[in-house]
Amino acid sequence: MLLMSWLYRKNRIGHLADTLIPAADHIAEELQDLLQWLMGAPAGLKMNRALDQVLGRFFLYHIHLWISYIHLMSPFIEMILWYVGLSACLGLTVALCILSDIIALLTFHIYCFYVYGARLYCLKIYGLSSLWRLFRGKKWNVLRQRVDSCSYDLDQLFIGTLLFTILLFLLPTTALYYLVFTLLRLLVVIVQGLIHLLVDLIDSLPLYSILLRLCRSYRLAAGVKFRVLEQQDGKPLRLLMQINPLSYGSVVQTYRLPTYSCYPKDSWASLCKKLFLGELIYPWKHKGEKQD
Amino acid sequence: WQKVLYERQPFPDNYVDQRFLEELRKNVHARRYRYRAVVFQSGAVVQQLCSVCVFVVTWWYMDAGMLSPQGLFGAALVSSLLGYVLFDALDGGAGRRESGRTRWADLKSTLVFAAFTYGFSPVLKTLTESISTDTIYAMSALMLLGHLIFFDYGANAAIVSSTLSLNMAIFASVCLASRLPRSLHAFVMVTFAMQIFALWPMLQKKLKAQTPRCYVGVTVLFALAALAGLATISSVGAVLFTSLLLAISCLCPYCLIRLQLLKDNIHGPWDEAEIKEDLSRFL
Repeated sequence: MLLMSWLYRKNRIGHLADTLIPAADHIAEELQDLLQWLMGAPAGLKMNRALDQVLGRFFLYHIHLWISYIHLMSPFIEMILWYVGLSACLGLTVALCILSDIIALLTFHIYCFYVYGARLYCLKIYGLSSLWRLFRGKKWNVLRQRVDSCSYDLDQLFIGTLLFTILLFLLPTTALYYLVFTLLRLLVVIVQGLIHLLVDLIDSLPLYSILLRLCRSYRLAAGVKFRVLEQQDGKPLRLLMQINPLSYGSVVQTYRLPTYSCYPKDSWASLCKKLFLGELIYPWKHKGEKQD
Repeated sequence: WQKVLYERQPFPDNYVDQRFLEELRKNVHARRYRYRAVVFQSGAVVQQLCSVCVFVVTWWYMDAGMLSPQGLFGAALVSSLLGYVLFDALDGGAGRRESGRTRWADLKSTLVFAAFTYGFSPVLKTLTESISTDTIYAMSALMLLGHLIFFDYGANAAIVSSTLSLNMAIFASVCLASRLPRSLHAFVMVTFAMQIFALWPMLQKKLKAQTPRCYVGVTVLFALAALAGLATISSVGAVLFTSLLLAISCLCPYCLIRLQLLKDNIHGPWDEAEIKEDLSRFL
């Protein structure tokens, strides 16, 4: 509620919408600069010029499309944000989730680039490993799941070696593009993960119990303590019983709500292996999602 | 004294009598080589060395611009056709009938290879643009050396892998061809490499099996041609190459025969048993 009142005051939504388009433009410009740097000789690495130009131009065109799309949408952004901001009255966590979704939408082109780069790299690695086996005169035996020797025909050998040479020399270029886009994608994924963690934390906080501990602390008991009232001769002992309230830490721990916690799907080792092979990674898994 | 250890005897345990090492045999399986036969067989190694030399000389001429790609292509085409006809004529068509490979299949694979190489020659040309020349030379030299090491000279050794040697030669040729000025040069170079590293040894093997005298003559002529080509580029290289060829064809067989006399293998009843019968009759 506070957030909403703060947002709607002083036309903050308008300001937000105004800053959103330049922010998206800024991101796109940064990406363009990055691609120009890649198309040159980045960090002194030796790239194949022709392939470099092809890939760089393709991605630049993609960014150009994306910027046009953003500019097309810009008159409607303010209206959309106003309506979306209304839903913040449903709670802070909803606003945070919407923020996470907006981030995902704004960085959609990074996701696209990552998928293109990863698929290209994966194909190249697969082709290279198969042709390396051909180079040595061996073949993958699917039945026995092992590498066996194989006598190839002459023309198979020629074409295989030619392709192997070509793929090998084009590997640094593709690998560099893949590396850059994977890092960007990982950055976005980490930011989204952090937002989800925050949402989780807020969700699982037992607000009612904490308020109860503050105001009516005698409702949550951790035990009793006795106080001796003044002793008089000949009268029985009189004690005053008082309730020991729970400490805040144990309140939170006991009354914690179960949530959809999200945790990483793969261990570090399998994540590294997937990154090396170029398989697409979807790092966060939610409890309750189907296992595949 | 009995040759057993499970009975108590008045002799010490390590006593031996005069029949000691009676059954020792020396050098039972040693082969006696004859000089001329070994020199004849070393022709295969000489052939491969000359092939590599001719290839490098041709590349050098093309790089310097003294050899035009059309000329090389024409010459290679003519010699390939001659070799093709000769291949079948040598044993009167028996090999072709045995392997069942039709001329149409040969033509198809040639066309496929030519089309593929021609289509990829622009890519091949720009492949190593950003890699320094020294790296290219080192890689090609390494690959050609590997080609010579793994080549199938007719020996029955475990290191021999004809696939690997051919692939290494093609890899080296692609590396070198990418340094030439235009994509037509690259195409012609790769095709020439294919002919000299894959088709020429096949012809030579057949020649060796069918007509040994012609084989010797062809080897000598080929070596002289390689030497002549190398001499026009660098005389030091020609001298070194001549000495290498002479060492391999004349000196090494001599050393082999001399060192055979120093062989000292001992055989006796302590060797592992070898099953010499054909046990399949018990199955």
